[in-house]
Amino acid sequence: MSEQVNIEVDDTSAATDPSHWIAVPPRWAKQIGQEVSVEYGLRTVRAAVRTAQGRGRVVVSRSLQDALLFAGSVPYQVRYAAGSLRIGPVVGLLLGEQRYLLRDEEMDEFRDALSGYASHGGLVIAFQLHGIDWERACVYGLSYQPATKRWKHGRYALPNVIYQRAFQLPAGPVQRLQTLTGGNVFNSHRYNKWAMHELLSTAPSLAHHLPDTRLLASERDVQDMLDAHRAVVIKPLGLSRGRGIWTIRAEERTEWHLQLRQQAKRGPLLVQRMLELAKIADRPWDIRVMMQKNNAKRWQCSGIECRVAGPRGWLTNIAQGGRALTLDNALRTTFGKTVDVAKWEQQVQELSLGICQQIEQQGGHFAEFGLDLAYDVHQQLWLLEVNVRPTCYGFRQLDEQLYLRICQTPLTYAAVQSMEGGRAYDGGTV
Amino acid sequence: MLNQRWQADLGLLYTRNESARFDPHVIGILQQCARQTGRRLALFPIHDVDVERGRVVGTWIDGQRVVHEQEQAIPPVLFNLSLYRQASGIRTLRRLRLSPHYRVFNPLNRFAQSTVFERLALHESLAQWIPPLVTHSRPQTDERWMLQVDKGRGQWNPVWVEEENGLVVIRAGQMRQYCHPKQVERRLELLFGGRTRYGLALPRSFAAEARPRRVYLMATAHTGRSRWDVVGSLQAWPLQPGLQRASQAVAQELDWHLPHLAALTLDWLEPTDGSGGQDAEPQLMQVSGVEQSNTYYDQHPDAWVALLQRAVAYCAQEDADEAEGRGSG
Repeated sequence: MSEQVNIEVDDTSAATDPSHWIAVPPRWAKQIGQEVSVEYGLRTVRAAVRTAQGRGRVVVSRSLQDALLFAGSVPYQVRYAAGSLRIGPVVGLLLGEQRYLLRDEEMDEFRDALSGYASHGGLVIAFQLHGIDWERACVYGLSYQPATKRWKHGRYALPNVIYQRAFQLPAGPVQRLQTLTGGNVFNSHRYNKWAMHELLSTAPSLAHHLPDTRLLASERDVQDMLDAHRAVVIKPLGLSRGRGIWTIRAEERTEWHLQLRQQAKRGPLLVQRMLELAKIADRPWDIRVMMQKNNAKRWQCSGIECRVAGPRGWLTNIAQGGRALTLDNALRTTFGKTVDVAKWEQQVQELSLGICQQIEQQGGHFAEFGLDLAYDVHQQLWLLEVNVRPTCYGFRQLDEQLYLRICQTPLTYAAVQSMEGGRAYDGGTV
Repeated sequence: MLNQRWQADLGLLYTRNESARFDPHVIGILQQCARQTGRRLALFPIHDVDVERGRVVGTWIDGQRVVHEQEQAIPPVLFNLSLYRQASGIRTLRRLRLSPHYRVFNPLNRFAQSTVFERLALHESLAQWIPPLVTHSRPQTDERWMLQVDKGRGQWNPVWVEEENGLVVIRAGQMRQYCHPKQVERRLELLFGGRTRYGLALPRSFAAEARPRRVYLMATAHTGRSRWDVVGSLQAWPLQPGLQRASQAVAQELDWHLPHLAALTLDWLEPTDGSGGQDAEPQLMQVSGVEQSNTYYDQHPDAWVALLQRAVAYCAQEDADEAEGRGSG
């Protein structure tokens, strides 16, 4: 039994009736019996079952509302299974502490992700680690109000599924949330570029798709790589969106030493063979593959876009001036109209699936990856980078509907997990 | 002279105007802090920070030596003591906050009061001390409104509004205006001239002439959650226990809403007519961060030293927690 309903709170019961009860339609009441465990986020409260007057009405007593920290004013799904009645979904967006004070005005970045809200409903809470009251099992944050499309601050029940949107977070509290939710904090780890390279290198099927890469320990590493490959790329381990990436060619004798020393002071670097990427109009292009978990918890390819570098650079990131186009278009323009696009696309998808599976084998709970792949001029397919919290602006240039679907998918996935009770996670160790 | 690899663990961040407060006596005390915590310290004004290069010119302190005016790497843990008015200072602090390389504690010392009071109203345990924000168009007969420009810097220039014999009287300093209740909104618009304001509705037992009592608090980092202590007051000291308890409760609950909050200034208005019940409780008027007034530190030099000692201890504890993977939260 699972339905989407608006749940009312019986305010008249506040002073006179301290008991926990829930009134449900007659046919549900018959199925459930006299008492039930009501689950809401991470809270479970035992309540008496009453029969509600009026078609399709669900009403909770004021005391049950208080015990659950139930937030009205949003539509919920109600699902009865195995002696428990779950009201939900109750999904959390775990944000970084860089935003000083969570306010409605700063939540615009979730507008596209919430454009599919009607399909799942429920309570979507944006919160930060410092807002969690562990002792009282609640959280101070903002909840999405579909009627006004705005965010309202308040105290809420801890969500049972959490979509982690920040990475600079202390490990201890995040691990505590993992334990509480039964491993349902997803996108929980961020591997730096080197850790990811090492992780993927252990899979024989992937190794030949990884460019020669070293963790930079000394300038000697760069020189060795230059001797072997003539051109290399220097990448900071912890930065994304193309920030801090630059190239060195063998013919540059000494100019790079100073820049390298300066950059090494800011944090660890890796040196990677520079690939001779396939080009369109003399500009290199790569492929962004959006891999996301669907409602059945299986990896699916949600979209593929190709990105051509901007006119004055070789970086293909949209944030660095790159332009988006379809795989079909990119392949035919580069390799000729006779290429078997379907076969190449299958190769891209198979490699992408293999990468997702390999990462998940190491533990952690993930629901989306943005994979950067590229063909070189010899038609060899390479993995350039794995992004745990990818942006997908390029898809917007190609297809607005596809872009919105990609944005919505993680929340839809979270909502499904939440209604399953947050205990159905089967992704291995957390 | 320090070598290039010397790296400070913790840094105190301030504006150039405050440099004079770091006299040799204060530096000596900070050196003791460095010895006690086993940390290397740095002091520097925000305008000498180069976030791009990760470098800063400042004073560097460890157990053995003090080195002035040298450029070194920005320490990874920072405690902000100041409120920045210039765009460049605000921008630099923001860049530090957003950078994955640094953790900035007490990043802001100015808060939007309407937002702060809205958040505090969520906490039922504070209800007796937090007056409701003014939301209606004129005061009720048993109310006295306090309205101020919402600068959040701890200034006290209230406008008082209350009903008197069927009219509404608006008082600002020596100025007094009477108007029809329907004109209140319009008169206030003219008075505030489009500046953002916040208003609190108080019971009549709070006199319009009263000045708030200013209370200073600082956080002590603890595993999991900070503990808040009252560390001083602008007026009579020590505080009566009720005000102390109320101040700590407010700080503790604000902690849920403002990350890395480590120092607070609370302004309380106390009832003057001796009536009992809930009205007897002090009412919070405004919330700001570290006291910025030179006058205060000139009068209470110990308060400045205590602030720095606690700031160093706070950062050292947070740093230790982070190293052990406990972190804040």
